[in-house]
Amino acid sequence: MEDHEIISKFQDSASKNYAFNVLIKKYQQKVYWLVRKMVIDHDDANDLTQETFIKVWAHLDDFRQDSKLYTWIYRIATNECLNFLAKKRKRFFLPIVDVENELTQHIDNGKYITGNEIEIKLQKAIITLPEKQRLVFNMKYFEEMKYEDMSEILQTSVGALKASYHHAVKKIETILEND
Amino acid sequence: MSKKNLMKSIKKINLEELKKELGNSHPAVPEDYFAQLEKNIVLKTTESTLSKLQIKQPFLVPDGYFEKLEENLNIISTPEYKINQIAGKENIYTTPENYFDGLAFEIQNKVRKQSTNTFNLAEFVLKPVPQFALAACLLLIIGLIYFNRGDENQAFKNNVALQNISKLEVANYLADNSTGNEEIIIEEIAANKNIKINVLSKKVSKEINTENLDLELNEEDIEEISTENL
Repeated sequence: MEDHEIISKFQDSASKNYAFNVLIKKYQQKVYWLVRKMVIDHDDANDLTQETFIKVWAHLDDFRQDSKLYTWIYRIATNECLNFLAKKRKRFFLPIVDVENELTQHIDNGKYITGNEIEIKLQKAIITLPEKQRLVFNMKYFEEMKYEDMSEILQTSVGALKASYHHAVKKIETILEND
Repeated sequence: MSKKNLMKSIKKINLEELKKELGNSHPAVPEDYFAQLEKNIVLKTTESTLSKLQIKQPFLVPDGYFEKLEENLNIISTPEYKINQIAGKENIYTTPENYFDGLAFEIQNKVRKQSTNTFNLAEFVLKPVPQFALAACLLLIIGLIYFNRGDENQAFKNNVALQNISKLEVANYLADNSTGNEEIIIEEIAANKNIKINVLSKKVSKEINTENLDLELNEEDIEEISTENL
């Protein structure tokens, strides 16, 4: 079902639940993987994915369709991730390095992680990036998303995103080559 | 000569006779010309046949391959390409089995619960209790510590003040505040406690001055009264 159909069915109280079900099934994996690559732990990713869709439910009636539906949902998900990581830092009075360590430990000891040595090394290198740069790298490198869409999601100019991605790639290349 | 007569005269020429007449006077040809002649004829015939067939290049390339070739060569030298070559783009994260099958149901359940409990008074009132309770406990502990420390300080200050009162001040105080009823009071106390009244009244009625006070305070009788009988 196309996005505009989902939205119009959602606005009709008779088909609201059906439309929401379709919407979840259409975007659940994209949202989950975006969040999972940011927070690493499956349980945290599960909570944030659910929170994202609950917010979608609460605010979809207000969605003005100025942007694509999926970029709007992604924006909610990225905000959830950034807020989660910020709270984590505040709650434990931790500097950013310690949050990084915690995420790295999840990669080393967490459940639901596979991959060979070099793939794990890449993920650990990504964790060293600042949070917004991580988002940019994940969206561009793994999902091959367009800069224009990323610009809508992250509310940042295309030029700034290109520069951010370039820096991220350079850093990761250096880490991978030095190790 | 007309065309007809020319043809007649040519027909009359005997080739053998012509050869004899010409002898070895024919023009010279390059060395091995006749040896290579057959090969050259075959080659030229083949080329002309192939050109007539118009056979094209049998291998194909994707559309726009050569246009994109330069671009592709540039990509190869980028850091992104290097990362991809080293580590790939494989997703190392996994989920529990059938996780996505039940996710939509779980989310919709939560949404349903939230929309039915739009306003729960009990929850509204009780929800902040742990935080307030914790804050109240902390305040109580801090208050107790503060006020207890205040009492100790006050008691300490009182002790210091009492120690600083001179005996003369005590004597003056007793002299100023004497009502003349001390004997009656002492009698009443003595009646209840079986104290030797004469001894006690004599001591109290004495004129009080600093020297007497010292003496009185050091006398054993008073100590006995104060410790044993009272």
